[in-house]
Amino acid sequence: MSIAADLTSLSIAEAGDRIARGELSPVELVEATLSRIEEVDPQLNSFIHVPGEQALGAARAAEAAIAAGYHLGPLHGTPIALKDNVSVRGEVSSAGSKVLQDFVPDGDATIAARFRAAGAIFVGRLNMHEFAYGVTTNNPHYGAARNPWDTSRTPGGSSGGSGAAVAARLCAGAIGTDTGCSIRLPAAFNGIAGIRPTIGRVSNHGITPLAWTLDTAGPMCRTVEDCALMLAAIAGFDPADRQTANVPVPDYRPELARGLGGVRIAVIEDFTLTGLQAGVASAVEAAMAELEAGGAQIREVPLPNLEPSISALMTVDVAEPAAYHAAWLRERPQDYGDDVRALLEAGELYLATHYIQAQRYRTVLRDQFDEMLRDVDAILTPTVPFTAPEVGATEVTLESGETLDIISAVMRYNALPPLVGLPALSVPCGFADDGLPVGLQLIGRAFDEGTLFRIGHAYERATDWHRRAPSL
Amino acid sequence: MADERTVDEAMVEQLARLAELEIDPQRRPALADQLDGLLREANAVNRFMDARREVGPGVRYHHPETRSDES
Repeated sequence: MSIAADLTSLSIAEAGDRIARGELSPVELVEATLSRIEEVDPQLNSFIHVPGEQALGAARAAEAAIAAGYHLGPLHGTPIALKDNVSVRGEVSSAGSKVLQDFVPDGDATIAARFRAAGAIFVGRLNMHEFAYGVTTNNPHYGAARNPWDTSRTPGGSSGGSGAAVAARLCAGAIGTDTGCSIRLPAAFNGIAGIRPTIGRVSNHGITPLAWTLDTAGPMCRTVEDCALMLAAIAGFDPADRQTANVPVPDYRPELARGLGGVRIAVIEDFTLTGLQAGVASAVEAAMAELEAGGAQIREVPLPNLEPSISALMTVDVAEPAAYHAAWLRERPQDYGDDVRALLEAGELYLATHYIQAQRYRTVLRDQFDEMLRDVDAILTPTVPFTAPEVGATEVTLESGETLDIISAVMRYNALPPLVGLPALSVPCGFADDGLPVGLQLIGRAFDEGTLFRIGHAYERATDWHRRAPSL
Repeated sequence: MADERTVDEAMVEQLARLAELEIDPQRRPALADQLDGLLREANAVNRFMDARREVGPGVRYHHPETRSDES
């Protein structure tokens, strides 16, 4: 492995420590990152735009600031990338669409501004499913993104570029956005960690909406520790987004060191381990054994009323996007990809009662989750019941033999956290027989992302799945 | 299964007219299929919630702890 490749394999925590000690130059690190993007990304199509000169300029500024004694923290000088729906001042922010292909924001999204304040370097804008409205990143305008573990497979979506780029060492960390699954699904399919924060933890200001009552942005990184560092930089109240909460953001690092002693984890009876691809089931069962060996207590708990969950998620996630896109759908319908256009048109034809009942269901489910999380610290499920399908797949045949459309199929476990608004972390927990990564999902209490980081970090210390790299 | 359909092309045309949305006639069959599936799922949620009319407070558009003006 070359020195440049060594540098791009550093985690944010590792690179940040070396930069802080003066042992690593941000310019050298960003140069290595840009070289790797140039070399590898033609196979993955994970980036829509790479502003190399701007990134190098920011790296030189970071290096000068640190040399002058102005160190801004663990992200200072580290190369990250933003999903294309996050506004950056002066850069085309198209949300992976043709409709917004000429949109140049005159200000940063709040999370972009907070990353700048923390000294992070933006190395590019990441490919995504058009308007974040899909689960494959098979983008008709910018091309399909591909999975670095097997380029014939999808990286998932909608933050597929984020997942592929982080796994392939094309950036140290990335931002994804998650409405129904779009951080955790690509994290699982690409063998990296990703956290969907509590709704209200991270500002959506300056991020192109998909479904207002479900959307949240969050970090996607190779380690849980890096997710914690990135979340700490962007989380917290934002007067520009009234849905953000005035809840203090803790320093997550002391929490990471606490280990698994006394942690109580629930698996959902007749749900967590049913209907899984064989390799997914064995990886998740092995992960449960590892967590128990580390000191966690795992118990099976019933959780009724899950049957309507995917339907309720889809109802909200069809009605709200239709409202956001109503004007464009009438003015320029031909500028949408076929799959997105069909969902938006369908959303126009729903009844109001469908939407209201789906929202009421969320209230019922949230109360059940709150009740369960009084007795346990986290709820464990697989992230997805199967590994990444082929690029272009629109249906998935489950272990039971049932064939589902790909959106419904990936939602079995993914739908629950967005419906209830609670945080969920996906961590890599092994590989199936097809050589593709498997993800483990941990769902926690509102604003208690720290406990999820604690469990995920302890699991990573006991395993080496997160250190595996695709051979690109 | 055809007799169980709740949405056909004519209904798509009518609903689209109510929504003042123009749908290309060639797209109506596929959209009718998609909408039929989605509404079947949405109706399942309706039936589930029909039995829970007592559940209050109805709809929480914001999770209570995320209301910045109440924190």
